[in-house]
Amino acid sequence: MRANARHDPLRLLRRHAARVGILASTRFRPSRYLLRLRLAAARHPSRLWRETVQDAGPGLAGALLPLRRRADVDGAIRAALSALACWAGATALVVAWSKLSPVGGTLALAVALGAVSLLGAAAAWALSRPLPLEVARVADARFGLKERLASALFFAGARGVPDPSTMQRRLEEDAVERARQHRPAEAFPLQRHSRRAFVALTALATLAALAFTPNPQATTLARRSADRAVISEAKKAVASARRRLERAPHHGGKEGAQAEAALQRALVQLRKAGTPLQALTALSALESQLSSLPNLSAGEETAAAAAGAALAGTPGTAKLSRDLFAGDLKAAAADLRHLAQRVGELGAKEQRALAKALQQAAERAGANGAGSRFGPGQDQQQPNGGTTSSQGAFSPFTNALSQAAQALEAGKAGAASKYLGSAARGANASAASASLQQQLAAAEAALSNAQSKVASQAQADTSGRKGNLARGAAMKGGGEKGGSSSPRSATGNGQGKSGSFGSSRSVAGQGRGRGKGSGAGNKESKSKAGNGGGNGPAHKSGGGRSSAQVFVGGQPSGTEQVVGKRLANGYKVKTTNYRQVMPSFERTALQGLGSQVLSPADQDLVRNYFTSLGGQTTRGATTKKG
Amino acid sequence: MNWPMSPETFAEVSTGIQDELGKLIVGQAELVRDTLIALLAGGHVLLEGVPGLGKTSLVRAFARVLDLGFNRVQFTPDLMPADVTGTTVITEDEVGRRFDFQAGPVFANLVLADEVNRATPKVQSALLEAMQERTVTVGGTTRHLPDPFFVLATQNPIELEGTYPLPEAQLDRFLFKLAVPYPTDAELAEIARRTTGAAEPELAPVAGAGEVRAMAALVRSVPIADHVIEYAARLVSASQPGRSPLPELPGYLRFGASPRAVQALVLSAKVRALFAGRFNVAFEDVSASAHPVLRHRLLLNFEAEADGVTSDSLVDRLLQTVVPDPVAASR
Repeated sequence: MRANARHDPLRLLRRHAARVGILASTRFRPSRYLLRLRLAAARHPSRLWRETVQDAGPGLAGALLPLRRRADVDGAIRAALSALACWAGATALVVAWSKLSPVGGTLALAVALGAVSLLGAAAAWALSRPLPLEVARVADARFGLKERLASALFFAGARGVPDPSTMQRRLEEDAVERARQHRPAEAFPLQRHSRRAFVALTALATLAALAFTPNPQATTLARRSADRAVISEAKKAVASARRRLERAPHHGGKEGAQAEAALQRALVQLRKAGTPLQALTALSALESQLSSLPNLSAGEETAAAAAGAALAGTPGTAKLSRDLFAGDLKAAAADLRHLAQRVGELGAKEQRALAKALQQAAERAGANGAGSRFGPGQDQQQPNGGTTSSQGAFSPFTNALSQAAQALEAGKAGAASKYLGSAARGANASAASASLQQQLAAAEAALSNAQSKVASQAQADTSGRKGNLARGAAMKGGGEKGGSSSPRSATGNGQGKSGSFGSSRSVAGQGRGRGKGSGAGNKESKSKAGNGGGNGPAHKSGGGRSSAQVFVGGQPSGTEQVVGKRLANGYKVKTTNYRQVMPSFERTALQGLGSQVLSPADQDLVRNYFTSLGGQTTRGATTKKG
Repeated sequence: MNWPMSPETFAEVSTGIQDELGKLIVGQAELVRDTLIALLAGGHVLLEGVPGLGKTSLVRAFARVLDLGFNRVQFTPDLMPADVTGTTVITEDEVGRRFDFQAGPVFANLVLADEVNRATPKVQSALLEAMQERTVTVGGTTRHLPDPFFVLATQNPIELEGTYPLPEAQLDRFLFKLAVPYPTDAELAEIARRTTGAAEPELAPVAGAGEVRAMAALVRSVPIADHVIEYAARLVSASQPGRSPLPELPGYLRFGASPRAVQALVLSAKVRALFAGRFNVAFEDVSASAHPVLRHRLLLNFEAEADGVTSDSLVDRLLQTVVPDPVAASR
């Protein structure tokens, strides 16, 4: 009967289930396995164990209980030491590898390995928890009980024996009596783990030694980290610019769509970019595309200011004059609507004065807004006899002013009111357009900032120097301040557009045009005023401390090549072969082309220059070195 | 289930038997103990030793101490099966003539088959049928042998000319094969003192057939856990050339131990447990019985004999190789 029970599959399953703390009783059903697991976790282990050997009787169970607890502790120690050794060994390998190869995320990997080791140890402990019979066998062997305990438990736990013989009872009594003469620690001594502990400690010591050894790959890792940081920052800048552009009120126009598409393309390229150089290429292309967009709002603001000046002193148009002069086209549109409503209330003399002022304003706006939508445009004959301009959105403003002046001159206050309303709508449209330009300017400023950092990082990567981010910041500051730009930053950014461009353009939204500066620290490099019509602050980025030194990227530290005006001043200079410096010069210049505010013609000039030098360098031509 | 004898009584009686035998048998304590173990386990014993070591005296002493019916058969080449088992003879009385069964010497509790290898295989097989079946069939009639029934056979390892070595199947029927060792100097002197005096030592019966049956019944009730039985099984399996973990064993063995070896190991281990005052069988009980149980069941080949390898040395290697409790050893 016992043999049959031993071969019963359910009984076998119960035995295996007991290994993980499931009760080895006839009540066990496989379907309740998970539920019992949860219950088992909530219970005290000894409770589980007691139920497992509940058939053993109080004496035997009491003798085995401390042994079972000690066996669990022993198993936990064994699993913990094994896991510790495995973790320390694996982590030591990872750390060692990270010192041979620039592998990032060592700490995260170590933490992950620790978690895996911990889980593995817990699983191993749970799965290897000894059955009570196994504990008894170990105790028999260690105590020298001659298999008394295991035999007693074996027969006590055997079901289907209706009348346990007196021999079994005597066996149990004998086993319990002898087992109680020993301490559980004798069966599971800590010394048994000495070898495991030694291995674990050795692995830990190895790991500690490796961890405290300087990492020769730290520089490379730091550079890579900085690369990722600047690329990520550039991506954020582009994404942010795209969001701002989407929120702009006039972004649905042609310019907005082009800018948005360019930003989207740049974002895609940046996501693919693995190096700062690739990111720089994407940003440079983006900047070129954004710069190529027409900036009509600057002319409009100039024209509005001129119109505002013409209206100054005319009765009833003081606020309109101020708003136009300040470039607040939205307020000016409201003023025009207000003027249209009360133009009929004006007297004849006032109407004539207003007509004259409006005519002058239209003429001045047309004259100052050349090239912008405020320009005069080509007048087209309207069905109603009037004319309109084919120029941009602001042309209706000047035309409407002119027509309103003519209507007032003719004493047609109603028609004048209508034309003033048209002028108000034109001003409103220009105000929206100006808002888009402001967003574009802000985006360009942010991109310029990101581009500077990326360029600096790319330069640091190329030259292998450190402190790339700090230099990038210095370069940017130098570009903004114009004269204070350091020589290194000037070349580092490939003569990049200075930060002043972005800021001046954002101010242009206030109606003072934009100024472009080359941002080079070279004294010879002067800023080029934009289309500000003289109102925009022309940046002279090279107006500060002159520098004749240009550090060429890619040269070994300490052997930087210096070229500049001193050569013309008769300095004694050393010479070096072109071929040693030209590739680096060319690479740096061409990399920086996209980030400069250079006209296509100037860019071609640079390319042609290096193309023309290419033949000389191959012939071994020399350049002077100071 | 209550047994007719307590373990304490068992120990007392067995100790009494050994003490009483010790009056006559000088030394040879292990031999006496192993013989008693085999008797209480219900098995037969093959005693092997050179002449003069007291084999026959030992058996006679057992018969006297256990107060059992005893017969001795001197096996010779001209011995016939009927001389062992008995035969049907014609008897004549007032009623008339009839066939009566004349029981042979095998009809006794304790049978000494002296120099069993000198009889022909025919006689040996007649005895071995009685040993295995505990019955004798003569003239179509099966007759049961008395209970208890033990055969203690002796054989001489020398003077092998004109002998008939027991076949493997018949050897397997002996629970133990015990080698009778030479006595030490001190034992020899004691033997001389005891047997050359005016009076020989008198042995008193310590137990009878009833006690022996009770003791045998108690032996069978001794619990043995599965892992101990598995050890015995692993020992026997390891003795088989195709399954042995010993690399050298297949080169020296023709055949390994049979399943009867497991039975012999377990039963003898139970007796040893009771001798030790335990109520369960330990690994050491099994390993202690390994030599007498496996000695005659490991059939060596020529290479073994040529290399001087004995079955006892192979058993030693088996005991060294087979771990009693792998679970305890692994934790």
